[in-house]
Amino acid sequence: MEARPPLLSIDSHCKGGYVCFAEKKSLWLFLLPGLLMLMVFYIVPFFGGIYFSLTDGSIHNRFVGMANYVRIWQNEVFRLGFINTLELSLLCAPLIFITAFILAAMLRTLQDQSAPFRNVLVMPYLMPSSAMLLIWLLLFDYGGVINQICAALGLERVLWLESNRLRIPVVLLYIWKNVGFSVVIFSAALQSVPEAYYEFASLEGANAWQKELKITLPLILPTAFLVFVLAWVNAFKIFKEVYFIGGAYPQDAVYTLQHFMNNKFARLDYQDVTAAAYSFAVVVLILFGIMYMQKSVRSNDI
Amino acid sequence: MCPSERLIDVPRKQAAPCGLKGENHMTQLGKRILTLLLGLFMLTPLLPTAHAAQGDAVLSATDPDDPQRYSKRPLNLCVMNDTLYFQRGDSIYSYQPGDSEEKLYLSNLSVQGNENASSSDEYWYDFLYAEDDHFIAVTLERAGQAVAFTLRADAEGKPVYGEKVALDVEDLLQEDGDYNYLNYYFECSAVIDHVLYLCGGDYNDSSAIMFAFDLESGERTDYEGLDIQLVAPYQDGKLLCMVMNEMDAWDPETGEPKPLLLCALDPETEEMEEVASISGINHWQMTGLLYDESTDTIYYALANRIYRIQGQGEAELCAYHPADIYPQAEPHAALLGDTYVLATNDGIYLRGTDPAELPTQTLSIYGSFASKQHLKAAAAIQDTPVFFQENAYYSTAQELGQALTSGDTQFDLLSINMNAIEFERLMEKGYCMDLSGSEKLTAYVSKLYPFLQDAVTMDGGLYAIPYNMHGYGFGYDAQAMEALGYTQEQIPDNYLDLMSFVSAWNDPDNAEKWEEYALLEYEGEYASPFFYDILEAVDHYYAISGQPMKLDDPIFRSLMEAWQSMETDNIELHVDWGMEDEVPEEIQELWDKTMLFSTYQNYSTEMPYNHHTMCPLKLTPDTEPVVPMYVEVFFVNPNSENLDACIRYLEAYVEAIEPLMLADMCPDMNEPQENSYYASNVENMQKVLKDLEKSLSEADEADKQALQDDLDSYKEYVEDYIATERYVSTKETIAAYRALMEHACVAKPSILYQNTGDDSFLTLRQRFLDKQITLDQFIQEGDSKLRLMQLENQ
Repeated sequence: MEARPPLLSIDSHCKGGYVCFAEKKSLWLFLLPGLLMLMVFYIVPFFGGIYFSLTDGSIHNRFVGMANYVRIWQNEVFRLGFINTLELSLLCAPLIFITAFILAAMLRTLQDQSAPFRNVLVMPYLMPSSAMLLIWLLLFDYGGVINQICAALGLERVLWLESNRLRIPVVLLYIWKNVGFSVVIFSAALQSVPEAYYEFASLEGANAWQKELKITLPLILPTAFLVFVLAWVNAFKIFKEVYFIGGAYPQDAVYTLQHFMNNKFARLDYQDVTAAAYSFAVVVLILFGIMYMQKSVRSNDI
Repeated sequence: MCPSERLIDVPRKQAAPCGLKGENHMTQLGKRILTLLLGLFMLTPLLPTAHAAQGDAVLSATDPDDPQRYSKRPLNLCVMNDTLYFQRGDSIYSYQPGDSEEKLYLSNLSVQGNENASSSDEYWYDFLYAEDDHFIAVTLERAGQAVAFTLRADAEGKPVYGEKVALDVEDLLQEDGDYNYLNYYFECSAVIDHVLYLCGGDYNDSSAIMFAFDLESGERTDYEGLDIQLVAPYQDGKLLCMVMNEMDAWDPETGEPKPLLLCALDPETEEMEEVASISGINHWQMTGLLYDESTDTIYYALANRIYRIQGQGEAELCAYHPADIYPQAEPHAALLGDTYVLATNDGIYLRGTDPAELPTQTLSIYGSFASKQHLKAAAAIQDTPVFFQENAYYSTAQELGQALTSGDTQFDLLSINMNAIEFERLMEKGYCMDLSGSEKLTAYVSKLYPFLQDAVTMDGGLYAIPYNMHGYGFGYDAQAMEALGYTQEQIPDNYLDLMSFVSAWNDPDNAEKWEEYALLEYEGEYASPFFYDILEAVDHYYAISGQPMKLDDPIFRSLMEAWQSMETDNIELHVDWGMEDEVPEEIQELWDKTMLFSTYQNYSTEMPYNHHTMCPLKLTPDTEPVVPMYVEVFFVNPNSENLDACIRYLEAYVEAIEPLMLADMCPDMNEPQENSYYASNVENMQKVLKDLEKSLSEADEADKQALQDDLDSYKEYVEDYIATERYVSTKETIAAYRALMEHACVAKPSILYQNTGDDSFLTLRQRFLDKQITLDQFIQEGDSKLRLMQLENQ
């Protein structure tokens, strides 16, 4: 059977039967609103922000070169926030990834009965953080449920919300909130894996772990990469959860880059906010670049 | 030699040939004159912005510094035969457009039917109207009756009173012993077809009510449930009313005030017809509702703006007043042709109502209100109307900075409290204009305390003008302490000693003293307020020392140790305030006692009202005291388009600052200040004394003793007043204040005891007070926050 030509091609040399993207001017019309919004709200502010990070942040916006970047990198608290953010993201992203994968795999076994469980898992993702924080505070407060259980078990009460231990409720909260979204993506990908591969593997004597590792993961690698990237990106944004509990100046262990930027913003140091944001963006781009290259290599191997 | 060369020194290289020189020069001169005239002609469109609109005038302006200003204010405006009349004191004055000032029309007025009037209300009419060729005067609540009567001037300018008509208010009066009073207030009135309409309300009930009195018979008609707030005569014998139910004035969905309705009311049928609807304002902001039938135009005033609605059109701004005017009752507004006239406590303002003649520039002020100083400052820039932005509020420097940069609300001049908003950030980030170019402002600031100067200057620039400062802190009653046998050394001057004193006072052996004396003004437990005060004092201590603040410090720990061991169980009040409006008995008893100490003692050059001695508490016996001062400043938006007006306004403002406030801020102003009310009060007292003496001499023998006692008692009071109340500040109070100021600093925002956008420290503080965390945990957590904050700002 002859292969059907794609409907659209961005190939500038349009050949018979192809609908040339460049020549189909009405398509640009459809894209225009989105492109305009993208330009106005993302592209222009992005490049405008770069300039702003090179000014003194006063109402006069005097150009100061790289002085802001030098200053914030010399600032101990910026580095603390930067490292904490990286650490929290590197802790949360794999945890989300693994938990979501396991949950998705378990849901797959339920087949048609999995929908209610999936919905339950997605619910926290749809809830506002402030409302969830209330539940979390009730759980982890000094007189909260967790401490009451500890007391019932004869253990000492723990100040979960006051010290470096704040990381535990924060990470748990983050996982609880975001895992459902990753489960949904994983579930969709898992359904696309042909059942025959597993049957064949069973005949070959593969156990469940081997099936997941050797069949499922390689086949859903693009989706897994997406889940990991999304989980990581979201993990960079752990702030609201900590802010609601610990305020603008929480314990050192949970002080994130967003705290630094938020506090600088409140002090009208907008130039520091932008310099911090672009510094972090550069590091994140490098890390993603490395990850993307790794993924490309693995894909080629498969 | 040409004769002209002797007269005009023309440079040789420009010299014209002899004979033509004079003619040529004349031509050039003519051209220059023509150019100048042409230039002036070109400037004519700008002229309306530089001079007042046609019809603008100010009459009977009162001096804001005059303590008798209120009794000298003009009111009761009415217009008769194109002439404006108004009452001031016991006289009526007239003014015609074009006159340079008002003329005396009638004098020696008196209130008819006012047999028992006191000296101060002998001549004031509650309302005055013009009808045909005479006035109608109305007085209410005088000797328990309300009357209306006509008033004319005879050929010699003396008042001729018509027959009194008693208004039917009998059932509106309330008895209080021998005295009857009207339990209603009236904010607005109108006379149509010889019927007087009074709008107001019952003091016991918030709903609006309108009464109508027939001026022939005095009969009354009540209009209830119509929610009429303002009235003015309208067409065809109808009333123009502003209608709003005060209990239903807000839209619960939008949180905005509901539109105000202007309706035409037929008083016969009580039918109302909507004439206009005005959105976005509160009903209490509107005043001076008027209607001009000849042009079918409605006028009303809103703050310092006057609006008009022509026919079925939209409301349009048509004039400004120089400063905000708070709603006042009619008939303090009137129309003189197309000139809107409004009487205020400051004088009568006449304003032309042609929108084309509106000034092009206005001065917008954030964070302040129309005080006496503002009125004087506004008078210095009469070509630029002044607005006070009442609907904007910013609680942090970031919010204010964003508002200034976004341009959503354009402020020219801003006033902030340095304790509430981090002014330093605004100054550093260029949100304040450098005012050092103004000699007057620089000279003014150079007279202030150095700590004030430091707070508003940076790199030689002057970025704000401090205009108000107050401080408070610990004080003690020296007489009471002496009476209780305490020596000066035993009076605590630091927190450690004070907490020891509290514990000692708590001893049951002092129970007898508790009957007459109270230690502090605390109406509940002692621990929390003491803890808050200590935190604040520690913060100020570190602020003035220039060291980064920390809680893990021997001083703070020793204070906390003393705080934790302070005993207060016997002297603390445990009062159930309940839901009653009445103050609980225990609290009333506390207030009635002699207070040994006060933590809110006013720190000022002014004589204290409670005779307490100012004594700022040190943290420990070995530390220096710190006196935080709460300072308000003005600064100018650098993006303002009215920079010149801002500076002129500020220059006039600082000249108008009260001497007492100046003395508080300027270390070299050490002359005692006289009480501005002293002379007039003494004069009034002398009059009362004379009246009492006269009454005594004319009294029956039986009453003489009682009157003599009254006279003696009053004489004693007057002598005491003369001896003690002449000065509001003395050399002693000034010297004591100057000594305090050696330890003064500007109080700035702090996360320790304020919500500066982050309340996490307040939460931590509460957790400690609730005993959820130990002192060590509090110190550790608190220091962690403080350290992050300090490092962040490096």
